Amino acid sequence: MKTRLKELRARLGINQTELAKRAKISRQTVSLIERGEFMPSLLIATKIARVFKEPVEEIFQFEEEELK
Amino acid sequence: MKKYGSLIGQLVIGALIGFFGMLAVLDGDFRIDLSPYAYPGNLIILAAAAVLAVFSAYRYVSIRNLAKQDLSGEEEDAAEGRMYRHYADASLASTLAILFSLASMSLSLLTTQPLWLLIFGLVLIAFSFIISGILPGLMKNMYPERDLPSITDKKYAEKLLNVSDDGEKHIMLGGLYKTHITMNSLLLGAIVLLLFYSIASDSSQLFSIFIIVGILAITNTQYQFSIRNK
Repeated sequence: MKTRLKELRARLGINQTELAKRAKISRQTVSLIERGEFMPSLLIATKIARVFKEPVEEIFQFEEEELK
Repeated sequence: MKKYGSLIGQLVIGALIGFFGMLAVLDGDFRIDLSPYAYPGNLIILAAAAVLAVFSAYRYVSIRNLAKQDLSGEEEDAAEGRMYRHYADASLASTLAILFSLASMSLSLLTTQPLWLLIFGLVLIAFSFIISGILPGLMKNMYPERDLPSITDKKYAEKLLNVSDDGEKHIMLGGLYKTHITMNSLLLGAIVLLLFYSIASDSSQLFSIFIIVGILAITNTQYQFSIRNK
């Protein structure tokens, strides 16, 4: 899974701590997702998507192989 | 299949070492007397406990100072990461300080040791308990925006787990699973070691062996039931 978290954060000009505060999750979770070490739950993915006002599938993208 | 073969191989080697080791111990006529090492051993354990207790207090202060800083951008993320790691350091150091102080106190009570060692051990235990008791309170300073339970709450640990998000639970699960496996192996090893020690020193450690067997039975039952009933 690829995420666009870093890119979207940069666009919004916010750090991991600020994203965590806005999405009401922990900074450790943001960091884990950005490093690709944790696949977020639907709830966390939706919370993050709301911060960026983007659809979930635009932020978290799967390779075709992963969906087979 | 290759994996099972290697596992069976390891078990057979372990069983052979255990069997012949036990034969050698039963056949040999040697005694283990650890009493000459009690005093220097106690000094080393107590010194380690003191260093760890001071280190945990130092980390406590550093987290408080970091939490007071008004940072932004990358610096804020870096400071938050440092606080998180310092908190883990302080928790570990205070827990180890309690364990080492307990070991030192046991040595002082069960062997002939100067009284000051026992008193110092008691002071260190009290100090380490205070640090580990006030540490969770720092969470409020570290994460003021989060709705964390009060440390005086009787169900503090349970509520803290409930307010943790999936990422934090993922980290805890990884750590706890590894710890569970390590603890099982180490305690099984401890039973074998105590058995050897009992035979070699002619001092029965049967009570300790039964205590460890009880702990293993309870923790494994708890774990299996908690995953079985889901």
